[in-house]
Amino acid sequence: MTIPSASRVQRWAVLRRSATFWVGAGITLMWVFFAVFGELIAPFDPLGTPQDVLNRLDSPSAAHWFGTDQLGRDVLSRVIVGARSALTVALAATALGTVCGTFLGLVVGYFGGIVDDIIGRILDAFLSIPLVITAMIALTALGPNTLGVVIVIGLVFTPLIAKTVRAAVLAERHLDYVSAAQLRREGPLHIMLVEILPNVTNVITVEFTVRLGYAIFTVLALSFLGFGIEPSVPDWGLAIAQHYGFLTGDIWWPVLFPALAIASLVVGINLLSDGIAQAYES
Amino acid sequence: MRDKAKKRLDQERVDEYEAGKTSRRKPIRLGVLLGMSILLMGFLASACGDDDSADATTTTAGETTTQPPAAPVTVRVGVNPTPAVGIEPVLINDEAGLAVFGQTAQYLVFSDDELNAIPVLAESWESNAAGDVWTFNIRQGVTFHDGTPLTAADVVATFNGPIAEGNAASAYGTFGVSAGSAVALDDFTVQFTLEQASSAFPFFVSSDNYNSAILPASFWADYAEGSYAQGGFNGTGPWINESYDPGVSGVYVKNPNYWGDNSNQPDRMEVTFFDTEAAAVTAFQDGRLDVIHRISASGGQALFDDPSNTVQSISTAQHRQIYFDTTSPPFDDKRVRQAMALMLDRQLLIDGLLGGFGSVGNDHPIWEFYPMHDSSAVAQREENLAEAQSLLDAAGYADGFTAALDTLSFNELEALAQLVQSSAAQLNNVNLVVGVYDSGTYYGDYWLAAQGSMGIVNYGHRGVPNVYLGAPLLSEGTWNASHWANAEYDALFDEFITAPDLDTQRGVAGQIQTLLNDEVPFIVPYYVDFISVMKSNFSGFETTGMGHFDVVSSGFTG
Repeated sequence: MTIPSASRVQRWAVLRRSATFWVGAGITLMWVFFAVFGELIAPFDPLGTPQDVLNRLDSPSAAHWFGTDQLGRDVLSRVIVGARSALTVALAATALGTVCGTFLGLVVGYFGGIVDDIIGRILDAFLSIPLVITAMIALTALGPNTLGVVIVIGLVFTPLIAKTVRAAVLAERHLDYVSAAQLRREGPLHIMLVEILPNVTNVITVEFTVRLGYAIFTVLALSFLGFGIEPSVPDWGLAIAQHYGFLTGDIWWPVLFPALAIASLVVGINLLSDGIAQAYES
Repeated sequence: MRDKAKKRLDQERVDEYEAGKTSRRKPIRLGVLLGMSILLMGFLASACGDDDSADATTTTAGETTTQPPAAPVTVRVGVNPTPAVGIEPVLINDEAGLAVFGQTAQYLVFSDDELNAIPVLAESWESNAAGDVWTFNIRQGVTFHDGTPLTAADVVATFNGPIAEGNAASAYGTFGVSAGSAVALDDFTVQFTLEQASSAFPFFVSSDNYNSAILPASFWADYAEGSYAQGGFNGTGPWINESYDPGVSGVYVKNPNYWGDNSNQPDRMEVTFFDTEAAAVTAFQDGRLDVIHRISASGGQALFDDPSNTVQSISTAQHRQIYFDTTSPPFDDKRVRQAMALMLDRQLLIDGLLGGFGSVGNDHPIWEFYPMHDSSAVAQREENLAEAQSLLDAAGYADGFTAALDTLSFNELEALAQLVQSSAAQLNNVNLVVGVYDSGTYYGDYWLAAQGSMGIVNYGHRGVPNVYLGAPLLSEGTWNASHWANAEYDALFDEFITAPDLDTQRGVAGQIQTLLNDEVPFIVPYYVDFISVMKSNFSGFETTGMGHFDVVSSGFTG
């Protein structure tokens, strides 16, 4: 049993009228576009050449709108291409967390009882550790690499999403359509995935967009701390880490522009998330 | 005013010394002569002037005023980073630690920034003809801070004590000295018998071997880790420790019983430690420091162009080694290593990464300013991408390869790794994957464990190249990250260490330079200057390439 198509139409009508949604979508799509076509748009090679180092830390100019970094590379080009590492890792991690968290939330919410008690307490234990600390410990053990970052953030998000999905499933599991499925002797897996899941997609969609914003922030925080990203790769968190020491010398451009990029993408995704949430609430 | 007081040794002067035209002491003598002339002129000026001008009470325009006593002079020094193992004589192995240790403790010999062995607690020394027995005459009239007089027994206890047991001493094995080799012939004469002759032995008992500061025999008799701090940092140095807060600061006062001339020494010195260069720079800009002991070219960028600061740099033998695992493909073929050496534009690296504060290397660690360096041995390697590619083609890597390039987070090493990476990218499909780690992870997991990969490591300054030529290059060397084993080199090293005179040693050095340049177990892209920054009204700050510093003759103007 799924939601009536009339609701979808109604939600789309709300979204079309939502400035929050369109601003968020615009910003997010811009960065997605940069992530996909960055090399074609960037005015210079973001990886630079050895000779660029002679132009290191040049202030913003007509040639380099955002200035150059400590190796003379064009900051604008690295900001544009840097969207890729932030978005790909964050999207992959959020997707992993959403899949794992949704499944866990369905199981815990559907079965309840002792299953809920045991798994719920384990999830609570995970949630009591700060996100970045957990990720740092795990990456120290696994070794810093991009795949490790995806897995660690995905697993760290799993209990958060599972708790939210569990709450939604609890509201659904005693409804008539679930009882009817049980009377039809449908198996628990079938009921969870085919009957309940379509009716909690609103919660999952909103949770996905909210977590995506957090994931971007976490990914960039980890790259700022030196986990996961190779030093030459254009990455906003890494760029801030490599250049914040120069702020004392009034060299602000290699830090400010990546920071603005992070802020704009996170704000954009949050606006997008708010718009979607409003549509579902309507 | 940007005053880059670069005290680079010029090769001409070294050549003059080698040719017997001048003494290595000549520049110092010239300096002393100049200083004495200034003192003499000052003395004559005061003698010719009004006698009253020298009195504490002066008369001006009919008024009599009493000049207040001169205000105590305090020098505030910033040291970055914080000493790694505290001020622990046996364990010190870092620049900040040895720099602070050297304020209270002294060595038999001081290895200065121009490679001179300066007598300190030893007044003189001589060796037998074979160079394996060295006799040092200990300075008389020297006392430790607690009033105990310095004798040969203290020297013997220092060299035969815990530092000789190999737990931390910087260069014991390389110099061929073993525990029990120091013997007191009388109260002020000490004789060392070496297992292996060494013409450079005075540098072994110098500040270069920074664990070998002379401390009282009574200290060594009851030595335990931490006892130096608990005992108040007792030594013979010009500064007496007043307080020490580990990782934060140390406060020192002038030693009133110092054996040397410290008539112009400031009254007090405050040393503040900083975890990062950025924190030190901020403190300096805020006026909380008079001088930053050492700063990197990249970290000090904010201060270099400020006209209210003076930038002082000295050339040093500190260098970076870009090593290869010579036991696994692709770097087991020396043509590949030569190609990697040929892809680098060394002057570009110096200008771009060091702001010009460095000198070009030629893939061996015998620095051009060492007196035994053979300038005619091998031509300077220059960037040549075409030759590099043809070497790769000949070695069977025409289609390129992928390899890891690991280094630690230290000064410009991360940036250097990226430039090596982008330089390699100019060759056909040569892809280096850079990994940067904290020093603990790097030295623990990557440095000596290179498997088919490259790495970059830092080597600090030494007055002689023995350490560079030993541990990182000998077949059984403990720091041999390239796993390079070469019997010809091992034999040359023995010849180098035991060479009885400079000419013989230079001949061997030339062969070593040629061999290393050809085999390229590692690239030496450049040597790094030691940079200090101070307020422009502050002068007299002296450093060495290893990081020792001296403010005894420093002061303020204006």
